[in-house]
Amino acid sequence: MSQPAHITVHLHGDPKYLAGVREMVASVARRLGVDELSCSQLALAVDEALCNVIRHGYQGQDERPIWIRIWPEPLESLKSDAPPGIRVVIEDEAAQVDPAAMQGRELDDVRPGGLGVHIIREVMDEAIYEKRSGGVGMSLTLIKRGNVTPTVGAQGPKGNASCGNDPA
Amino acid sequence: MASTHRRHILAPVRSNPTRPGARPAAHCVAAVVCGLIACTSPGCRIPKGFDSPESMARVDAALEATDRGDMDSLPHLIEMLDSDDPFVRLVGIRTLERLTGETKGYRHDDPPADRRRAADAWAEWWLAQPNAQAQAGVAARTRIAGLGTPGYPWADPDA
Repeated sequence: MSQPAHITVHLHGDPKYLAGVREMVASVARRLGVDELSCSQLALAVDEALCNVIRHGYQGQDERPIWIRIWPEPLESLKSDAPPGIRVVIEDEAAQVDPAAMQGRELDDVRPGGLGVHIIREVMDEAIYEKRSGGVGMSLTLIKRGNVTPTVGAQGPKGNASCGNDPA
Repeated sequence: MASTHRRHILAPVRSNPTRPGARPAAHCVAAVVCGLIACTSPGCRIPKGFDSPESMARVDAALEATDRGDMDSLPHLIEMLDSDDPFVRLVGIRTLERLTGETKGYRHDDPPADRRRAADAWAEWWLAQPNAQAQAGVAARTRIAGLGTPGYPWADPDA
C-alpha cells in the first residue's frame, strides 16, 4: 500500500490495550460507513490477530511493538461503486514464519493454537499474511467490505465531519 | 432435559444476592428507567452488555469478558450458543473456548440438532459446577497463558 495510512497506531503488545484498539478500529469502520455486523466482525478479527501476536509472536513479552495502520477501502482516489470498507494492517517484530503455512486449524481440530487464524479468515473478506521487509516481523492485512447502511454520524470518507466549534 | 435447563440457566445468577457485583432490585429498576428515558432522546445509544437487545452489544460484552477472564459470564456465553445469528454463536463459543479451553464439540455452523446437543453439554457442565461463581477472577491469566505454546504452532505441520 503506497499511499500513507490515514491512521497509524503504535502500541505495546500488552493485553490491556486490546479493548481500546478493538473499539477504535470498530469505531473508525463505523465512521467509514461500514455496517454494524461487519464492524463487530472486524473487531473480533483484530482482537484475534493481536492475541496471536502477543501470545505466539511475542510469547507474552508485553513491551514489544505492534503497529496498526488503517485506510478506507477502496481508497478515495480509486473511483469505485464498491460498498464502503476498511483496510487494517497489523505489523509486528516477531520471528518470521512462512505465510503459506498460516492456514489456521479447523474448528473441530482440538489441538491448541491456530483457531484464531481460522476465525480471522472466516469473518474477513481478505486476510493476507506476509513477511515484513528486513527479515523481521510479520504483516497481516485485513480487508472488510461492509454493506451500505446509513449510520448515525457517518459522513463517509469525503463527508463534512467536524470537530465542532469549540475554539479550544 | 438440558434444553429446558438452558432456558433458565441464568436464573440462579440473576437472583443470587451474594454474587459479586449483584445490584439491589431498586438499582436495576432505576437502570431500566434511565435506559428507557435515554432511548427516547436524540442520539440514543444501544445499552451495552449481555442483556442488551442488540446482538452486537452482546458480542462486545463477550469480547470484554475475555479481556477480564470473567468466569461470571459463562452462563451468558452458553446462552449465546442458541442465537439465531451465526456470528453471535461464533463469538460465544470462541469466548467459551478462551475462558475454559474447551468447545465440547460445539461448532457455530453445525446443523441445529448438532449445535443443540453440544450446547446441552455446556449447560449440563455449567449446572454441575457447585461453585461456578467462586471461579470468577481466577481465570484472568488464561487469555494469554492458557493455551499457547511458543512460536506459531499452527504453522508447524508436525505440531
